[in-house]
Amino acid sequence: MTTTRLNRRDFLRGTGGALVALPHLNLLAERPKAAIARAMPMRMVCVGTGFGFVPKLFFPAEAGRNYKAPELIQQLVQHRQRFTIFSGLDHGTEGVGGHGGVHAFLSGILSKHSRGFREKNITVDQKAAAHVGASTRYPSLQLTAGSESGGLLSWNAAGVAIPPIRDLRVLFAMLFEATGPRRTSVLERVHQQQMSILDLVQADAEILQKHVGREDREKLDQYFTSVRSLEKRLTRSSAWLNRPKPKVSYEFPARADEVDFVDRVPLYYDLAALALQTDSTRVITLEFSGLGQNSGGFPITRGYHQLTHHGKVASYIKELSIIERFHTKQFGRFLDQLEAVREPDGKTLLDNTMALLGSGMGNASSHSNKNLPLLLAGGGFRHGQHLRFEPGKVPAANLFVSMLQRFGLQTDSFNRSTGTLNGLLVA
Amino acid sequence: MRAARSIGLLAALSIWASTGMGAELAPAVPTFVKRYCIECHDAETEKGDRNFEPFLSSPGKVTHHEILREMLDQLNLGEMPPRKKNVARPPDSDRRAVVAALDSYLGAAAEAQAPPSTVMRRLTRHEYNYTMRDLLGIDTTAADATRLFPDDLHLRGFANHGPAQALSGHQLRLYMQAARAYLDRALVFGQNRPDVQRWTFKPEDFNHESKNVGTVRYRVIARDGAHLDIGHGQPVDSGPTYPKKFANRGVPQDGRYRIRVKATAVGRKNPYDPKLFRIDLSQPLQMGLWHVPDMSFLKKRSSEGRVFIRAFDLADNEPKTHEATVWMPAGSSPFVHWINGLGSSKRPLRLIIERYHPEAKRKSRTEVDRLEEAGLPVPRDALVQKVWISDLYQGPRVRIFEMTIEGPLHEQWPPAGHRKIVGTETDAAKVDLEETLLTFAAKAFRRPVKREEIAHHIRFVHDRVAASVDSAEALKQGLTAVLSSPRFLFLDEGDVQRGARLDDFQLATRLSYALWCSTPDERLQRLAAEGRLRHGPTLRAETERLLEDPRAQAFVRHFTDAWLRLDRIGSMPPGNKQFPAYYRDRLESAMQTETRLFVGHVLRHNRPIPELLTARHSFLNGALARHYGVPGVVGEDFRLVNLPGSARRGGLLGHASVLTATANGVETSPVTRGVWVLESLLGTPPSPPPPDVPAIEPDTRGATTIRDQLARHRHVTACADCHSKIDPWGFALEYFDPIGGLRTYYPRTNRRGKGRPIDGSGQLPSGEQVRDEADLRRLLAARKALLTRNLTNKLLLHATGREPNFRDRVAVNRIVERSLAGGNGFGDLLFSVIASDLFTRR
Repeated sequence: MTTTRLNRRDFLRGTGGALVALPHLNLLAERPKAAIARAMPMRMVCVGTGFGFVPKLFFPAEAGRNYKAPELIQQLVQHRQRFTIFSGLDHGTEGVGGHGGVHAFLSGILSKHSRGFREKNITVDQKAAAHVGASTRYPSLQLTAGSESGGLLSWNAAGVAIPPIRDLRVLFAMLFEATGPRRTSVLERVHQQQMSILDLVQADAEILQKHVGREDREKLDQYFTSVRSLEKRLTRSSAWLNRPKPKVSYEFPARADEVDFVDRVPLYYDLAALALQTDSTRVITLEFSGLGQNSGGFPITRGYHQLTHHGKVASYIKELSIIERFHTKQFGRFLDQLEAVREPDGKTLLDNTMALLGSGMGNASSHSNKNLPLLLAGGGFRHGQHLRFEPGKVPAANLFVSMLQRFGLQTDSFNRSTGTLNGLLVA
Repeated sequence: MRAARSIGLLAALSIWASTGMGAELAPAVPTFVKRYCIECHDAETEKGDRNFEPFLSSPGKVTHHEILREMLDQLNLGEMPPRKKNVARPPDSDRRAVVAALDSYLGAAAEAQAPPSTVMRRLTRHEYNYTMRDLLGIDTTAADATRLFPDDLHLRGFANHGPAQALSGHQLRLYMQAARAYLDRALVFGQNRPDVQRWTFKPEDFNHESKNVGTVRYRVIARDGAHLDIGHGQPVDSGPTYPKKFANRGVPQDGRYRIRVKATAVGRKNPYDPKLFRIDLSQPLQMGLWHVPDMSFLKKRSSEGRVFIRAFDLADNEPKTHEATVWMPAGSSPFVHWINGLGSSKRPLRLIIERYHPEAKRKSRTEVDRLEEAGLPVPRDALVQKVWISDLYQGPRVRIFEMTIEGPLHEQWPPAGHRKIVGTETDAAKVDLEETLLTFAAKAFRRPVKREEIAHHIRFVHDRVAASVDSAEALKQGLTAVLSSPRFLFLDEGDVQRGARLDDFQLATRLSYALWCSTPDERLQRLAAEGRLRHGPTLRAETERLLEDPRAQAFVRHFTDAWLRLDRIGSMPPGNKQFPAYYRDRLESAMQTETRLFVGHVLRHNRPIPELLTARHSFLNGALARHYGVPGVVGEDFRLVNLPGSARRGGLLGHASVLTATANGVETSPVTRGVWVLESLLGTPPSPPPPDVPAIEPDTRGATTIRDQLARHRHVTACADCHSKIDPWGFALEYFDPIGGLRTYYPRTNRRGKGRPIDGSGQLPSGEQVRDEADLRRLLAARKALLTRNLTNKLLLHATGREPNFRDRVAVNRIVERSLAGGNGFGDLLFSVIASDLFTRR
């Protein structure tokens, strides 16, 4: 194991430093000057852990702005004014089921109940991704740093979990390396075929138009509109194939996929920050579950899962808090990165990114999916407080409605929401 | 009485309509309104938000037609003027005269406006899949290529209503992708008949836990390896049992495969306290058989996309081979589980070890660590598993001995789908591309197609070939275009301006989509081409033929679901805690199956329409019978069962499907169920609630019943007008809980013990008293004319994609009248609808 481990100093050189120094001028060069004044798009990042956090280490005892930061929150306290902690939110009866309820984190609906819903158990990130459409190279990215049992954070409108990318090498290539000519030509061919088919069916629609009734024309108009909008979309998607990928000065560690969890996690965040900064995507989910080999590189003596069932054994909680502190600290580091990037509109990338940290697990020790740990940073909200809600009264989906609205969707509901979230205001 | 009256009306209306007289309102109407209505419905009182003063000041204006239509409905229902003290009631003769006058006036007015014909409608998702199945000869249930289609928008449950439908660029792209996926499935260019392979899996080939017993899942292999015991399970299983290595690759090719599993039930009779198992041990243990398109669907929580084949009842201690033959796409593998099992086996096992097998106890790592931390002594062998629980456990399990898979089984080569499209040639270079396209387009567009109409498609395929794309690929692209064309996706019924009558091919299409939800077959097309389909006896004979075909199940299913709003089931799923049986016993699908079988039965046997409400029989399987408290029905299969009086069932009002669709999964509301009676049975929907009225919040403390709350509601004048017409229909159904279980008490909020007793009594707007659901059933069944009219309208909506409007009243009345004069049979009614002008015209 140790042979594959990166030298920690190398590692720090490769990540923490590089990003701040990253010239995002490539981007500016591509963008015409007039666009600089234009408002920058909102981004959304949802980070979910499989086992949640020990509640007393995550939730402050006091509500409001003057809370005393508990152990886990202290790890990112430098951003205190740039995030909000929520307590008392969960998915009610949907989302119950211990480990079996965790996958409802970003939807508020258990997959086994998804059949009854119009968009099944679609997750908040996928709603946002649909809104972005072909405006970015990737409508969304799903990442997982966990071991095999993961892959349940993002769900599409058909009720199917979207397989996340685990391989950092692949992720880096997707974002910053030129697509091979073979793959490009396959995609291009598919687009071309679809374009030709659109021409054909448009001709059919014109034939049809000649002999249908007055009322039917409206329906055909709808068809013509669909053809045109699809043409536009295909043109835009095709354009991405030939547009060169952004260049970044980032030293990608050669054996990134072989190192331990503790060394890999920062890399996912690095690439996520770069993906946002280069506008390669505006929606990212990042899942953390099992630690994989070598206890993930943590100085712990028990398995992560076993530790979460701490049964209040002090030594267990102590070891568990090592992992959990790591998670909040890394999230804080991610916020550092976003905060360091100045966007063309004069705001920081963090101002333009809603970064959610949380879990579908409320208290792993008792397998409770109530009172989910939720922390939202950035996105131009008025932060700096601990918003406490009466338990069981407000669906966590209400937070997602607020996020979707902020993202630009004209919607007042999401899955089983009852409205937007009270107390979360735009600054 | 009602029937007779409507016949009288009809006569009056027919004269107006047939003489084509202009729309002129008889002066008797404003006189009547002045005398009997205006006192409450003036500008000042405006009861029910209705003010008739503008009407009285200019009775002839078109803008008043809507309000006149409401008046007519109210007078027909006999609900207005209300039966109250101090309210003058008109003599029946006056009322009838005004009804007749309104009827003819509105009819003539509507006629003059030439209301629209059926608006062009797009294939719904289910129609699309059935059509692909028949057009391409493929199975569309497994690996459904339409899974990403947005849900169809619908009008009151009917998704084939043109004006309600929408289409987007996104969906158009999905259409192209689905068409291509299905074509790839159907065509076998360049492939030889695959050899039939056989795989046999022994217990050790399945995924299993150590012999020491896993904690959550009990899946233990016998010491001699002879069998595998599955002691956990639930309908949506998070721990499926599958041949491990095989699942990595699955079956090598698309095709039909025969799956055999040798299995038995053990331990149904056992020495343990039955309360330890939260399952019904009086039902046989069942093995569920499924398949998944690839490994990823075997992961926990990925239940969507798994394909359920069926559940087998297992005999006790008697290994038997259970078999199913299914179509599976390449890469698929089957899995089994204990489908009516006890969920996670962790808790029952822990309790059983505690009580019956203490020798198998050991401490957990956490427990040992806690003792050590507290400085307490830890027994030396605390962590050692001394005895294997699998050697001791005698509880219920599903025991698997062997699984075999055999296939792909092809009855012929090339398969039926390929033959349908290109014939027996599998070398694409030898296929006449032009001819293939032409023949296929005629089938896809459901009418003869001239070469020049699809010249651009032909040119496209030739161009592709010229650009050295191989012929198979070029043809597939061409066919994908045909299947993405509006001429395929929309049911083109021509232009009403050029004649009201559907042409022969349009009629064939309408008929097949009405009864099969799918494309017309060759025989229908031939009859259309010969111009014979439109002749009465042929149309009747064809209707009978279509109904006898298995494809007609689609009609029963989709019509029933839309008419009775069963489409709502699942949109507000009941809580697992509150109603465990709903999930454990798969009641959701069982209750829908019951209603579809029942409606199909009434239709097939041409039983009188009121029998839909009064039948003393239904179709049940073991789980549903248990839910209903009907003894003696065991097992998975549905059968015709006579219902004992004690079950308080019979007819649609006792169907769990209806009762679940009209509740919200948590509690019931007489309002929702009352509205359902008015909409789905009587066809007289109440007006929507006025804006800004808050909904009734259920009393969470359980101090008052919903009846008390509604009573307060009805004392508020603004609500009373409508609610006194809605609520009484729903009260009697309060005896049934949100999933249709019988109850005599409301639950307490904490779900423990009894709440307040149910009182199902009420007074219908007509003055009739209702004590319980039996009274309601009887009183509703007596309203034959309304039931028949409503069913006629719903059948027409389903069959034509158009809601009958005022102009159609004559024709609808004629159908209703004939039905009532005859035996009122459901089958006859369907025939009348299809023979009517409403069906054969645009």
